Amino acid sequence: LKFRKAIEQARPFIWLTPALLLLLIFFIIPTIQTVWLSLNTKIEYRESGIEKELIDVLSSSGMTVTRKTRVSSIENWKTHITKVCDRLGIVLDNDRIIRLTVRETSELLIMKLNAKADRTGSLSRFTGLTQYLSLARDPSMRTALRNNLVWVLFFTVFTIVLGMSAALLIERVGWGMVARTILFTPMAVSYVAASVIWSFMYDASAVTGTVNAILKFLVPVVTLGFKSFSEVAWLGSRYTVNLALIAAGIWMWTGFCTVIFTAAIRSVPDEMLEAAHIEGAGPVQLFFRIILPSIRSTVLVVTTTMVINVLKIFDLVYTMTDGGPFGESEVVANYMYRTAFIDKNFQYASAMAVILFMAVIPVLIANVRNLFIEESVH
Amino acid sequence: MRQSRSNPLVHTGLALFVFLWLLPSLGLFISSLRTRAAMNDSGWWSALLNPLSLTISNYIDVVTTGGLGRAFINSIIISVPATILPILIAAGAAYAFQFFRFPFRRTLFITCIGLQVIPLQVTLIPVLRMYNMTGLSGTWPAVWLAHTAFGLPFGIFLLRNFFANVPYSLIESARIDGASEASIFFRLILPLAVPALASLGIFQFLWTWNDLLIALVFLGGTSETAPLTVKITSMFGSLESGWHIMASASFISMALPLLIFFSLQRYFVKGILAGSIKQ
Repeated sequence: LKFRKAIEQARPFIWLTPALLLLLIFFIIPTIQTVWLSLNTKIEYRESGIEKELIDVLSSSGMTVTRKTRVSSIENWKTHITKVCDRLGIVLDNDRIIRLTVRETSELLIMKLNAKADRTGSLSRFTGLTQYLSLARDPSMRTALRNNLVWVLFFTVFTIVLGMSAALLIERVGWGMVARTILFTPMAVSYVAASVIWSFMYDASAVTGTVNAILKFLVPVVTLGFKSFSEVAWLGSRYTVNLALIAAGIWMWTGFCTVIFTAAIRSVPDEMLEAAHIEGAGPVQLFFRIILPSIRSTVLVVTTTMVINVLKIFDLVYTMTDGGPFGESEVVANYMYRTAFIDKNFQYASAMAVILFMAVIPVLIANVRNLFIEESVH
Repeated sequence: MRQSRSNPLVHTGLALFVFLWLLPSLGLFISSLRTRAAMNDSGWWSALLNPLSLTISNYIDVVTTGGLGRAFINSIIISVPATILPILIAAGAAYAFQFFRFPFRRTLFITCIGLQVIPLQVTLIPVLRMYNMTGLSGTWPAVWLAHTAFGLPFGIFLLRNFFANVPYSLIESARIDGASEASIFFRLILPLAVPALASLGIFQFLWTWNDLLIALVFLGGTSETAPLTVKITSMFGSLESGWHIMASASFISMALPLLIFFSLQRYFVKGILAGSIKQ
């Protein structure tokens, strides 16, 4: 009977195990490892150390060994080499070094070591917070942080304000749902496709670039011919590149906000709106006095979603500018990608990832607290 | 206020919105139908006056010689399992969270959901190292597993919310009738949950189809395995292909997501609302 009860209790875990295992392997353990990695510094093996070690080991046979000695001329060379390889944790084909000198062998070993380190990131040394100190002094990181802040500010404010404006307009016309679908469509498109779409919009020529052509037409009209417009390389100028990228992001995400806000506005009770209307409230008052207060929690949720989204912005920047011109549009996620997967410095990149992680911790805590409250009601 | 007074200003404002939102895609779409020579000479809008000059030759070129056909197939190879797997696993977990009582249920559930906000970047490096050590790096299962795991928190959240509306008495009576848990799950719960599974499926499919980062990191960027996003990014970076080619390539990559989006928009909207509005 006891056995039966044990099975009974284990039953939910049969359903849970695949999910919990995956979350453990892909979220929890990696997060801890990343934090640990960020407290280490990558070691680059240098020639002198390995060369000296080789000479020391090989001389133990009792022969004079210099850098130019051919390795295979030394007695028991295979055992010696194996010993060094074992200590370094690499495998070396003995046939490959028969013709090599000590110096050349050490070069080969270093090549192998660094290749292995690049794959596993295992060659590192605990250095505490040094990586973070380097980050604080790194001008690229400072630009990236500044740009992330600009993204958070502009992207969030514009998606929310535009999304809300569109939702309010949609509520008031008969073809609102068609409009909503059109605003919403960019959500289905990849960042990569959006990057192509917007790079084309920003094309520097006034003949083919849509934005430049529109401005070339509009500026003289609006200023009654007092001003003319010369084309701008929107993605090539340090003054416009960030805002140009952010505009593409806003184009993608405004519809998301609109969808949520239209649903929220609809959930405001009709009687409340009627009552305010009868008391003579105009549309502006109606919005700020009635609608906004009753959908406050939704606005908050959407805002946090947007902030979390934009903190890890990567694809748009990677595809459209890769941080250029001259690193001016760099963001943390792109800099981290480059450091980790192009420069192969996993430790330094981990420190950047931890910075991103720390930025979402307040949201994480708030979410978990809300969930605990909700779940206890359940 | 609802549609009571139709103010022309409201119509104009919304029309401007819609125009601005359509313009970028419209421009690229028309460009995808123009020849290279036409693209260099004039803006895409001039083709509106001369619609007979449009051609689909760019699409034929990009699929036959541009290697985009291979990338399209790769995208499907990645997305289909990476959509089905997380749905099944998330459904199982959501089922357990909703219909069983066990110690630490609440804490476990909240932990699963809370993981949603962790940026992908935090986990990429250790996961890649694990893949390198196990030889999984650059293989399809590597991306499938990663997409599955990264899709789970939202999936569990969405499905558990849906299951919360299924009356517990339904499960109880099935249990009393002697149905096994597996048959309750597959015969009773999953059929009931089809709308929720559809929303989750659309989300997961769009995520995996549109993903760039996971494919870049875990597939190693060789052209035999590159999905559309990776392929287009590398074509874009090399700059040898003109706008006419980039335009048609982008629209090929958008075709399937847009088709799904327009035909199943209702479920997509439901998923978004379930994720952000308390009902």
